[in-house]
Amino acid sequence: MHEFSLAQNIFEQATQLAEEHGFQRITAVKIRVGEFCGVESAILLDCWDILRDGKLADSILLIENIRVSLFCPFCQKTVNPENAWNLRCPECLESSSEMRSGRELEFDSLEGI
Amino acid sequence: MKSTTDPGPRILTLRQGILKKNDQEAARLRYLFHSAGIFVVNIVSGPGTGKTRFLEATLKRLLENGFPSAAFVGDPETENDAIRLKRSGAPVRQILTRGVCHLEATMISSQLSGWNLEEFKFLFIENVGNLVCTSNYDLGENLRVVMLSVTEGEDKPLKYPGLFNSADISIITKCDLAKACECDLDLAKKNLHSVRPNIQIFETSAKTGFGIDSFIEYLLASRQEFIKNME
Repeated sequence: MHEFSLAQNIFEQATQLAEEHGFQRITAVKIRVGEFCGVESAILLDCWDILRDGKLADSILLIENIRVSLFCPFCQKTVNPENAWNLRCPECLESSSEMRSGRELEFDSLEGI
Repeated sequence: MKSTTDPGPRILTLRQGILKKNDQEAARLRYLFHSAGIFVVNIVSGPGTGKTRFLEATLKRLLENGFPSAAFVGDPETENDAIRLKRSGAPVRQILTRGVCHLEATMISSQLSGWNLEEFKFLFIENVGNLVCTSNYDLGENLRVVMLSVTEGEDKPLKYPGLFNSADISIITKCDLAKACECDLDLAKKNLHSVRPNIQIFETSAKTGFGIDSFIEYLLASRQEFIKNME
């Protein structure tokens, strides 16, 4: 994945949000990243250390990894497949194309003063 | 008591896409394409799957059937693929990404000038050959096609589930070589369905022409549906 370009997107938007919401400085940026996005967390964190500046100079990036989940039409509930390359309900073993999570690439929150 | 200029630590909760800029541009493009009645197909796969040869055959066939179409092709370097695609008779533009591993919506919008989109029935975007990064970038397409060649190994979908899962339909290319490569087509299809249950699969060979007609029929039917929804 192009982690540096993602880090740039996060930094630019977080800087703009900090301005818009009147933060003096940001201490933490929390994001949610789905398993299917192919993002390497360790590399993204390294990129963050290189990029952070201005109101975000002392901020940390917190990454919440979101597992793939499916809605199983047979069990009528949301389940986590055992692995991302076999989209089946772990209980009834039927496949399901109704993904409920795993593609997130979004902000969760900004913390600051 | 805290002054109004020092509100203390606080948390701003938000759900906003990290790729918001790209998503907004893709939405603008989708509206533009929709207004022009052009059906847009984003083709993704690893390098060497045969995207260009397949697209050349598709463009040629569409033109012969009275459906003039255009194409973009993305690569880090060289105009080679655009030169090959132009042999089909279709207008083609090469997008040089200079090392970037995927196409983004702004790369498409910045290359549209001078084209009258209403003259085209389809626009194809041959993405950079990459099995990871292309999956997260919306280009304003109506259909995302993922290709898998018989020369790559049947387990590619299992190794790169994120990309294969993001596609609407799948095309297996170079089927004329399946036997020579000892490719088990049933296993390849099983693996595609494992990461993207129920995905429609076309078995093709751009070299022999096998399966191209079924794909063209599918494209025409999809466009007809798209036009119907416009009215």
